[in-house]
Amino acid sequence: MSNLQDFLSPETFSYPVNQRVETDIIFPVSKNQNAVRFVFDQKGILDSNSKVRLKLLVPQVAGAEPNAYLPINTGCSSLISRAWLEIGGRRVSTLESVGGFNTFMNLSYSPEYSDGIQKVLEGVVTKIGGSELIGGGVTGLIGKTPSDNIADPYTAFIPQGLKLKSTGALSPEFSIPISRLVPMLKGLQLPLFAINEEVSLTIEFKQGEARERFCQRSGEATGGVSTIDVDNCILMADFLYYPDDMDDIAQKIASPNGFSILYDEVIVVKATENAIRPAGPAIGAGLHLPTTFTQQIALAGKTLKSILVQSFKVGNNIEGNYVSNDDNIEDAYNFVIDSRPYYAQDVVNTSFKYNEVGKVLDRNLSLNSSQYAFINQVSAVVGNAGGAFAAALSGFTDYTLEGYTQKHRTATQRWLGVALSNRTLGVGGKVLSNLPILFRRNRQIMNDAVYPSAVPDYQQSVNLTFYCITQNMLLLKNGLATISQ
Amino acid sequence: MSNTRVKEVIQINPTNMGNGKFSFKDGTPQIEFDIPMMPKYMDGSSLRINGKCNIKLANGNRPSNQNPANDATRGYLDPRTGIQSLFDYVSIANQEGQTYEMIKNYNRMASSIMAKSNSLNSYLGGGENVTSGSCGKNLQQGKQAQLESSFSVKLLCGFLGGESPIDLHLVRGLHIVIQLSPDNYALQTDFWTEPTSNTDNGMYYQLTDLKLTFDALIPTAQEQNAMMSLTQSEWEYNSFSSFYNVMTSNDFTATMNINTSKTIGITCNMIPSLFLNNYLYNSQMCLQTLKLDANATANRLRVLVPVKEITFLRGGLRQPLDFEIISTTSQTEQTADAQREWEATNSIYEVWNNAHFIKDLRTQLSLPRGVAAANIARYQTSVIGNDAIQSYHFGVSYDHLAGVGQNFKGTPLAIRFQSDMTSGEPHSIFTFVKHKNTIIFNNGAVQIQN
Repeated sequence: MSNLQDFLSPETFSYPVNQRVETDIIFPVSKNQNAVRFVFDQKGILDSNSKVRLKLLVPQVAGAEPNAYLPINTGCSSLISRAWLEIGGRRVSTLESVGGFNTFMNLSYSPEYSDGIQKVLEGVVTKIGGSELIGGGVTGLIGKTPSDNIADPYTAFIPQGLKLKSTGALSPEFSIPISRLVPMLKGLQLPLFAINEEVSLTIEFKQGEARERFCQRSGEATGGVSTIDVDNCILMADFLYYPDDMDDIAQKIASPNGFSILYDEVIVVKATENAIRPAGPAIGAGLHLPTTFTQQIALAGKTLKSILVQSFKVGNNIEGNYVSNDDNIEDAYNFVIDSRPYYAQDVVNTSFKYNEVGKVLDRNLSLNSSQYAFINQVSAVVGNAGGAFAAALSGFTDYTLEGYTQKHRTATQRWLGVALSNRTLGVGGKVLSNLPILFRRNRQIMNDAVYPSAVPDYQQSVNLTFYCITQNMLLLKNGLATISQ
Repeated sequence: MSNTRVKEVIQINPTNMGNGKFSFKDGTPQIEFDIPMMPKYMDGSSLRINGKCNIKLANGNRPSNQNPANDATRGYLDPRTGIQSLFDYVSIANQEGQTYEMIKNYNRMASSIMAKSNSLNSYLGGGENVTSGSCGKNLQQGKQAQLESSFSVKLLCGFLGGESPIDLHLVRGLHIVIQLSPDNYALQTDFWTEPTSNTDNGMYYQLTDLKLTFDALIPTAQEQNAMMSLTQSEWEYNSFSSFYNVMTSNDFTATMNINTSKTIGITCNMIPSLFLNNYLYNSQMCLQTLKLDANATANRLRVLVPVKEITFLRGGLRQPLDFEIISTTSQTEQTADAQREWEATNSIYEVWNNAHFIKDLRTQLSLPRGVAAANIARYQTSVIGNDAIQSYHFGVSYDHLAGVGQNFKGTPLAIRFQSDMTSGEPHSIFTFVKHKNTIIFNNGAVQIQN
């Protein structure tokens, strides 16, 4: 007898099975510059690695093709605002802030995978190499070399094949798996043949131009409004069949009690930290005073697996607005869950933070320390002074990428996170009470212009986005799908 | 007590905190952590030693490595192991003094394990420099040494690396002792590649803000009661044992009584003995046999001495390979030493599952040994110049499939190493044996069978 879970999981089988794959090109049933909607046939098992094809057209600039490119860590996820899956007209799984969440996902792939696969499929260019200033100066810096320019080693460019152009014939096309758009499909191959209701996928496009959908070479004027090439937006869907086991699978799903499947859902919560000028004695440039911020995350009754925290101050022209900025001086944080601090001692050590956020995905991040945080790049804090970051201290080279110094990437991917689940320990998460979770952060508010915003911390609000990964249950019974939490 | 299983993160400060500094200078060179006996399960692979590292010159100033014109104040850690190179000896025992695993020359073992599980990309762009404080390349490692850096490093012990959780009540708590490496072992100048580099004899490092962390499972109340009433059980885990030999001839056989009944594999690395505990050299390098470079500005061991054959013997018989690993042709032609590389990579990890490792670059790519010449693009992840440091390991796997291993009880292990060495320069060979141990718990008594 076959194990139903094996057929509905995107993992490799541990035993041989006969499998047949049908690939269909599905065109959207509705399409415009705001959204596209695809409806699936009621057949087979939907492979969660089925891909949506996307293409962005950026207008010419003064009669010449533009030098536009996708935000380097985000790739074509920057074109999507949110996506959701509907079964029988009910929204069963949604991902808000697709660009932000997928940026974090992209940073967890190995450099080899990013360079060999993500770059080609999704336009993600994250690889970092060693760097130095040839001919003297500072050595030991890092930088990215999307296309090495041997003639002038101080400049680098995004490869021409990834540059966004003005027409469908010239602009490159990208593809993104549906499992990266709908969290439910990350761990589930949807048995479409057993669902009698209409199953559809809706993708809502991101609005906004530079730093949102794409980035543009330094000094290049904007040529107009970009458009999604919706005529060429298709879904390449793989439907899986197991000739020897389909009857068995159907029988199990159709059992009197139905069949239930656990899956992940991402709930997005947003908040803002607005610092006030620290009270007390007048403080001079470079001085700082501690301030505590507390945010509430209401997830009553949910089974929480993990929380990912993005802290946005200011974007840049290489990574767009898909950044998570660090403070110049190490902050300390804790989560208060059911009135108890999750960590006995607040988390301060930057490397420990890095390890903790890696547990959200059960795999480590793939980031250089200079990308992740300011530590290693700022002087030590003595008393209430120090910790002021100067661009010259950056671990990044001042080689340019598309005309922008790569120092702009300093400490722009400082993600925080906590995991309440652990696969080795067999813990799937924690069922929360009615009390909201508190996210408490002790920051050092600088009284001087801080990098990269160039204003003091008390004039710079921080937009926090919490991606809360919860566990839901899908019950398939009599051809109908029911969601419970 | 709860009725549901919950995960928590446990944070433990060192038992011998002292003044908070762990160092041979103005601190204590040994770190001790005590994990109490409690009815909880530990995820051993999540255990991390967290802290901050400072590197200072003899005069207390920080080294200055980022200016290529300044040779006077160089000092940094090994770029391929980072903080791991600071741990000389690691012992894991229970709270009652019974030792589960004791690894001497842990840092040398780390230099083999990390080279087999990291590519140069994963050092710089894959997070190793955030967690292990290892940048992979000399120049970046030197830059990092100029300021305080943080680390969150895992212990590469067999005991902690198993897939099943550790019952902290059954193992009767844990007592982890880490002996730090001497300053002159851990720190290096650039003398090997640039003889004008400083010869500072007083550099030192200090670790501060140390904390041990791990994920633990708090079982349900009934499960905790069951854990506490459990008096008899067995538990199997992996362990590493280490052995040290010095090679002084061109046909050398190291014979070791490793005395392990379930031997999974052995891995070895070596280095000229002169390079150990010497500020002028990186004591963590894994090199093949070397001789003096007569043409160099200063007399240094820099010229490769070809290796001819390596033979692994069990009780005088060639096992598990019934042939010698022959390198004669590849070493002469400076081409890929593929057979040795394959066996060495396979000695700890299944080579067919291993996607990230440092290939033996010096041998395979026949790269220039000197500092980078002008117009060579060092801004890539290319490995040239002083980053093209050889990663030479040898070893063999006895059992990756069944996990039962080979029995060496009463049967010695011998490794025959034949080379063209004529100068008699002593080379240190470090051998690490991965084997399975069984702990038998019986009414509070703990017995360990290897």
